[in-house]
Order: sequence, then C-alpha cells, then structure tokens
Amino acid sequence: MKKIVVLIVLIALVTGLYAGGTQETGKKTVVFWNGYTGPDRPVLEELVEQYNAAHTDIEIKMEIMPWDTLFQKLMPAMIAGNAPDLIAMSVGRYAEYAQAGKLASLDDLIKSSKTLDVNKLVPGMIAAGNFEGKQYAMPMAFAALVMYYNKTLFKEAGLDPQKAPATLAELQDAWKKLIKKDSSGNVVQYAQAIGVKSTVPMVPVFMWMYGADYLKDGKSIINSAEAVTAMKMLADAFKMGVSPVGLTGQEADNLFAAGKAAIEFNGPWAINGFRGAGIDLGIAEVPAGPKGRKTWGGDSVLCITEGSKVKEAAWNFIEYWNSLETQRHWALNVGFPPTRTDMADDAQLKAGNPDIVHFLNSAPYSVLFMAEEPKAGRIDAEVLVPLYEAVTRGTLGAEAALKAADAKLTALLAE
Amino acid sequence: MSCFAAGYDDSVGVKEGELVRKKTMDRTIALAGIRMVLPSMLVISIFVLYPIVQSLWMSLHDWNILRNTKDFLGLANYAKAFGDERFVRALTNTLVYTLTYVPSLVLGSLLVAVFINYQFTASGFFKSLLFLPAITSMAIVAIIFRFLLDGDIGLVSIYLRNLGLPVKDFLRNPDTAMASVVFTGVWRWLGFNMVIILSGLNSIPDSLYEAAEIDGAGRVRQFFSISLPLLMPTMSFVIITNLISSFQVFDQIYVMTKGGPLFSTEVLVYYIYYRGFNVFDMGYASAMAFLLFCMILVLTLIQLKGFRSSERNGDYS
Repeated sequence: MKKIVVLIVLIALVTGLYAGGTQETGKKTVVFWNGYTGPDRPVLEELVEQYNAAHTDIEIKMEIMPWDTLFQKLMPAMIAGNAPDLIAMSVGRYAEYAQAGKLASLDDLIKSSKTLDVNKLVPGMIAAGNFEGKQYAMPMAFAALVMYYNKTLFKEAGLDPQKAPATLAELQDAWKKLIKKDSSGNVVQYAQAIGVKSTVPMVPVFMWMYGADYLKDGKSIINSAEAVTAMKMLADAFKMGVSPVGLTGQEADNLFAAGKAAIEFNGPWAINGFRGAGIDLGIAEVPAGPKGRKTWGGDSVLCITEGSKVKEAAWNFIEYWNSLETQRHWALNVGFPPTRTDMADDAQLKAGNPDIVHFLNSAPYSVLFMAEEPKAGRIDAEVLVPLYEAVTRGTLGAEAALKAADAKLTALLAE
Repeated sequence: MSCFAAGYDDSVGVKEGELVRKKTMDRTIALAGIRMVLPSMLVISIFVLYPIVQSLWMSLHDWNILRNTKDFLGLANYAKAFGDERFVRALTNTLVYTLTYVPSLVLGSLLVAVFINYQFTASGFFKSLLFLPAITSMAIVAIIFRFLLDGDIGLVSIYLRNLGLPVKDFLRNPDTAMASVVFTGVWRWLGFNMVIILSGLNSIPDSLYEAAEIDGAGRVRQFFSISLPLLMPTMSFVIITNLISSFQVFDQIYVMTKGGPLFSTEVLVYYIYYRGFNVFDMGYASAMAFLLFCMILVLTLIQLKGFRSSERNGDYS
C-alpha cells in the first residue's frame, strides 16, 4: 500500500515538473539576461513592461542578475542548451562567445529590418559589434568616460570649481594642489582615484594622452616610446600620492564618493551615486594630452544566442530598444547618452538632462577598448593589471615593466 | 559483504544441511546489504566518481569547454604546469598559506581550548563567542574583513593609525595581503577547532590529573605529560583536516583579493578556478586539480603514518 502511495506521489511530482517546463504555445517567450542591477534597473523594467504590453505575440522574460553571476551562469547554460535568447553584455566580452560559435549572426535580420537603420547608430558601437566580418552585437547602451571632480575640494585647494583642467598639464598642476597629507606624511586626501583592476579603463586614458596604444591588427604594440613616457608619468604621480595603489574600480568610486579623492574618470552610471553621496559634482571631458585626446567609449551590447528558437522576436526587441522614443526615455531617466547619432540636437533630451552634453561631446573621440579581441578579458587580467600594478607601485621601472608586458601579450595572443 | 558474512561463518559443529542453509542465508543477507548501499552508491557514482573520472579524462586533453574543442595531449598538461610561472608561484603561495595558517590556527585553538577548559566564570559565554564565526559564511566574513582592513576607509587601519603605527594598506600591499588572508581564515576557524580540542580534553579521565597532582606535578607539567599526549588523536584529526582545507583555500581569496595584488595571494585553487572558468581551459585546469589531489594525498598518508605511531606511544590503556 505504502509503495503505491509513494509511486503515485512520485508520478505526480514528475508530471508536475514536466507541466511546469512546457511552454504555452502562441506567445513567443524571449528570455533576456542582463546585469542592470543598479539604479537603472527600474527604468529598464519599465521599458520592458511597456514593450510587453504593446506586443500580444511576444513576451520578454527578463532575468536581472549581477554581471559576474551572469557570466558565471552563461557558460554552463550554453553548454547545457538552456541559454537565454537575448543577452546584454559588456562590449568587451561578446567576441569570446562569438568566436566559440555561441552567438547568432544578425546580418540577415539587419538587412530585412524595416524600422532600424544601422547607419543611425553610434558607428563605434556597430564597428565593435562586428566580429570577423559578421555583425553579432547591437548597441544596448553607449557610455563614455568623462572627468568627475569634487567642486568643494577644488575650492578648498584654491582651484576654480567652474573651470576643470582641460589639458594634462593643467591636471598635473591641480593634482599638486589637491593632495593633502597629515603631519606624519600619510595622504589623507588623494587628488585622483585611479583604478587599475576590475575597472573601466582609467589608465588607458593616460596612455592615449601620449599617443600610446595596446593592440594593432591583433599584435602587441604596447612597448613603445610613448607608452614608456606615459607609464613614467603615472609612476611619478603615484609616488607623489595622487592615488592609492592597487585600487579596483569599485574602491576608486568609494574614495571619490567619500570625498577622499578629488577627481575620478568614470561613466554616466556613476552620476546618481556621487550626487547621492552628497558630492558637489563637476563634470567635464577628460583632459587632452600632449599627443591628443581619447576616452573610452562603449558599454553594453545586445546579442542573440545561436541556439535561440525565437530569434525574430528577440530582434524585434532590439529594434524597439534602439528606437528614438526608447532611447530618449532611457537617456532622460538613466543618464546614458543615446545609442543613436541622430539625437545630438534633441531639444527634449538636452533640456531634460543637461549632464548628457558631456557624454555626447566625448562620443567623437571615444574609442572602444579591445572590443573585437576575444582574449580581452585575459589580456586585462594577465598582462595589463600586472603592468599597471608594477609601475604604480614602483616594483618595476616603466621600461622593464612594458618589456615584460609586451612579451606576455605576444605570447598570449599567439596561444 | 564479508563483514556481513563474518558473523555467520561459525560453522564448527553444524550439520551438512544446516551449512547449506547457512550459506544461502549468507547470500540473502549479502544481497540485502548490497540493496541497502545501492541508493547511496548510485548517488556517489553519479555526483562524485563520474566527475572525477571525467576530469581525469579532461586533464589529458586540450579541452576548451566553451568552444567544446578537445585534442588529445597525453600528459602534456601535467608537464606544462611545471613550466608555468603562475602555477609555480601559486604552489609557493599555497605552501606559504599552509605553513602560516595551520600552525597559527592549531596552536591558537589549543591555547584557547586549554584556557576555556579551566571553567572560569563566563567561560561558556566566551566559548560561544569564539564559536560564532564558524556559523557565519566565509564569503560574508571575507567581505566584512575587506572593509575592516581597507587602508583608507577601514576601521582597523584607522585605529592602528591613530595609535601612531605606520599602517599603509593590508590588502592592497603585496607584502601584507597574504598575512591578512591568513588572519581572516584563522579568525573564522579558531572557535570551531577549539570546540573539537575541548571535547578531546574532556575525554581525558580526571583521575590522571589527580594522580599527577599527588605526585607533585604542576599545571605546565600536567599539560605536557598528560593533556598533550592524550590529545594526540584529536590533534591529528585537527591538523589533517586543516591541512587539507588549507590546500583548498579559495573563498576569502576570491572575495578579498582575487589573487592580487601582483599575484601575491594567488593560491592553487584560485588559479585552477581562473584557468577553468575564466579562460575555459578546462583540460589544463583539471590537470592542475589532479596535481593538487596527489599532493594532498601524499601529505595525508605521511601524516596518518606519523600520527599512528605517536598515538600508540601516547596510549595509556
């Protein structure tokens, strides 16, 4: 008797599981993974709800998780065959998955699209989404690094809070005035929080100021005379106490938000947090160096997985996402510049969010850092972070550190 | 199976027919035994044995789990490890961690256990207080310590600096990062090991101490001549388990330093994780995991042998 009861319960459980697993037909469900856990989350949720309400045949089922969780889950999910249909990810990460054949080429969908003209989207993002001649990624969010500064600390140091340093020379001059030390020589206020690991590319901005770069045609060009100059400048700056050594991006943000560092390079996502922390925030474009000005520009892209059965439905959401109205709503509420280039003069946008001007102005000289490089993540962890750490701590001279980095980078690219 | 049969093997003075019946009964009992262990064996086979065999198989390949490409390499992955600068450094760091963590933890818990064992007022309170970290998740402990030890906004650094000590930064300095990680590990596990040692201390008969007191032995002498030798079985357990876990240290390093700064806290398991789940180079990661397994195995065998002889020496019955 007991056996029969157990059997019935088991059968009920198993069939129950199956029932839960089957999809209702008619409505296409697009599973959408992303990592928008920050203050941008409610805005994204609102836009997705609007989309779902307007479409009876498609439902976007969004799963929001922290980015690191997303990447931890993605690989096992892809191998097990239950990957999401649509994924938002950092533009620097998609190439790895495209190379592995896990993402769908979007070329046909782009060609047949009636509402989305690729030429109206930020060209840098489109170029970055192109891997080996095929388009795998469309823009989700565009962002550029700008210079944030603490107006109160500028005033205290005798600097004009209305006029941010526009060149590297002016920045270096400001650094000297902004560093505060206690009687025993410990730095109590840093001039600029410069993150070297798990961060948006803050150090490369300095490299670009001198015309140095990292990769060209898949080969290392890191060990150049320009790079040596840039690294020497940074080594001196860290020695002077401009920034603590070995900061992660998060720690750099914390320092700036705590008013313990006067300047930070960061993206639009940081604005609300800094204002919320009570910082009298100044925003300016990153300073120009002796050999020009470049900033990091990029952020997230949308990709459709190769195994997805609802590619058209997922593409429909990409079209909706990059439409004029959606981008305006996103820009006004989150503070991200739009992914479209035809909105630079959008009056509604400029009136609604004056901060956006700085990002729009940065767009022409913004570069995507190692976007099409599948090994970007490894290059950062295994070559660049050790290079920055060695130089900023003074454990290695600029020449020696760059030579070692060049050797490691060349070996890694050849692997 | 044989242990089931052993009790029924007493066939002296049993008639032929009965012997046959006994034998069939042995079979029935043995079969029942197999049926009883079958469910757990099944689970162990699927979730433990199969993955182990699979990862051994993987370790012989150049196996990229994302691209799902595999080329047979034989033992090349194992050879590669010893030429890999990061592997060698990770191995060194693991040894440094083990050689600082295990002695400080074991001596620390022994000391605390001996004091708590004197049953002074509020010793129960201190016992639970010291045990508290053991019920907290290591990840949470590590997050809290990352904040406490931060050079700019951390409480510990601020207090020490106010005392006039030249504190730079614990976790962002390659010279102190390892010590900070070790300290966090010791803080978390001290109370747990203290409880194990306490139970060992409690099992020592009071009569031995009474006899020693009559013979005029002081507290120190009692500790070294009675407590310590009789604690040896407990201590061997504590040392072996902690040695193994120290070779597998991962949580606090992942949370607090991610192996940095400048790879100064990158231990074996962290490097294996990095290779496997960031680079997706699962073949090489499996090979390193097997090397780690061999090291732990050898170490455990040596230790077991050593402690078995010391246990015999301390045997009082």
